[in-house]
Parts: sequence; structure tokens; C-alpha cells
Amino acid sequence: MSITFLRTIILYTSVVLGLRIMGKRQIGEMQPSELVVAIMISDLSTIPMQDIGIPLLSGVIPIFTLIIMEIALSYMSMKNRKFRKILTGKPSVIIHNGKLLKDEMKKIRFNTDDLNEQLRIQGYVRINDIQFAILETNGQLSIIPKPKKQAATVDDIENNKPKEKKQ
Amino acid sequence: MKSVILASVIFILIIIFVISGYVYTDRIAKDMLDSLEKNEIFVAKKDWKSAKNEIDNFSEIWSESRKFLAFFVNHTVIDDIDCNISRIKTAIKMKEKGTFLKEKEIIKIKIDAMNNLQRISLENLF
Repeated sequence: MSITFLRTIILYTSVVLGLRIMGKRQIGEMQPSELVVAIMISDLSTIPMQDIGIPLLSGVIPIFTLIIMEIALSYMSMKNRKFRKILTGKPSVIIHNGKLLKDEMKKIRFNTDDLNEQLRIQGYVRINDIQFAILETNGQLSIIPKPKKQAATVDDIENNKPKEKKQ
Repeated sequence: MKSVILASVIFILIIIFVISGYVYTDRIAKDMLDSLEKNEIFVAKKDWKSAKNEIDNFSEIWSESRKFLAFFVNHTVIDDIDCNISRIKTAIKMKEKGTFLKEKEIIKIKIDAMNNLQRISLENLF
């Protein structure tokens, strides 16, 4: 039991250290490759944690190899635009000027129910009110409402203030 | 940039560790197999005293290397070889040629398998 305890501490430290090297990202902001790495790391670390017959390094080496691969890919995608496009894909416009782009939705297999759900979560009920809806590479939907439906800024209020009458 | 440098250092360390692990396992396996072959000749000549000395030498190589082998090899395999070494020692002590030959072959297969698993080959990859 003491070995399991010590192995858990070592593996936990390795995973935390590895994820720290990988960088700061929220789960919702992960790119597909980062999500895959996170799932694989969590699975890999549990095997040598439970089975003390397996060398600890057969868990630690794959964890660090995955992290190194992830860092190498993100470094390469930072340096090369084409590579970034291959690795993460490109954002898809699915609403343009209040109209659904069905061909684009078919291409990315995004159905209208998912779209309506996302729109409601972000506080929009009518598709007509939206100038652009863009499905980002990390799976999040960015919505840009039509100018008339956008919330007023301080500048807008200042510019539309009724002029004071001179007495 | 810091993380890229750190990742590169870890990558180089992993490569060094993997290669040295492979070289070490290969060398130990070769030493042990040689020792077993010598032992077989002694047993064939019924020179049980030399066979005992050789198996002690074999046992010493194994007990020194098993600590390091545990870093790369499954611990169950190491425990199995431990058991077979105990049996082969008893066989020499009891002067039982048949049991010796049987245990010697089992140890040989296990050492070969342990060494082959570290090799970079298509068989191991897929």
C-alpha cells in the first residue's frame, strides 16, 4: 500500500508538472489535439498508479512524450500558418447577415438544434438579429449581432444626447 | 519559449534513458545467457562443483542487475526469473540433470523475451 501511495504522489507531481509545461488553457478553450492529450494523460497515469508490477517509468515516459509532442505541435503551428490550418482547422461562418449557411453547417455536421441552443445560451432568440455566427476551432460559437441589436456603448449614448437648449 | 527549451531537454533525457536502458538490458541478457551455456557444459560433464560456482556467478549478475531492470521490465517477469533461478540452484544442489535442463530452457526463454521486448522492431511496435 505504501508503494501505491508513493507512486500516486510521484505520478500526480509528474502530471501537474507536465501540464504546467504545456501551458495555461481552460478545458473549454482546448484545441482538439490538446483535449486528446489531456484525456490520454489522465488515463496513462492511472495504470502504473494501481498496478505496482508495472514500472513507474512506463507511465511517466508516455506522459512526458505526449506533452513534448503537444508542445512541439503548438510551437510549429505558432511558426507556420499552413501547419496551424492543418492542425486546428479554420473557423466556419454559419450565419451571415441573418441567414443560415446550410452548406457550411452540413460540412461541419452542425445541426440547427445545436445552433439554437448556443444562440439561446448567449441570449439571442432570432437568427435575423445576428450579423455573423462563427464556429471557432475550439468548438465555441462567436456571435456578432446586427448593429441595431447591439447594446449601446457610452459613446452611442453621448452622441445621441439631446442638445441642451441655450437660454 | 521557456517551455519549448524545457520540453527539448526532457525529450533528450528520455531518448538517452531509453537507449541506455536498451543497451543495459542487452548486455545483461548476453552475460546471463553466456553463463547459462557454460553451466550446461559443466552439468553435461557432471562437474556439479563448477556448475554450482557458475550458478552462483549467474545469480550474482542477476541480483545486481534486477534493481536497474525494474525500471524498464515488468516486475512480474523479474519475479518469475527469481523463482526459476531458485529452482535451478536446487536442481544443481540435488544433482538433477533433467530439472536443470528444463529450468535452464525456461530462464533462457524468459531472458530472451525480456530482451526482445526492449528492441525496436515491427513485431514490438504492432
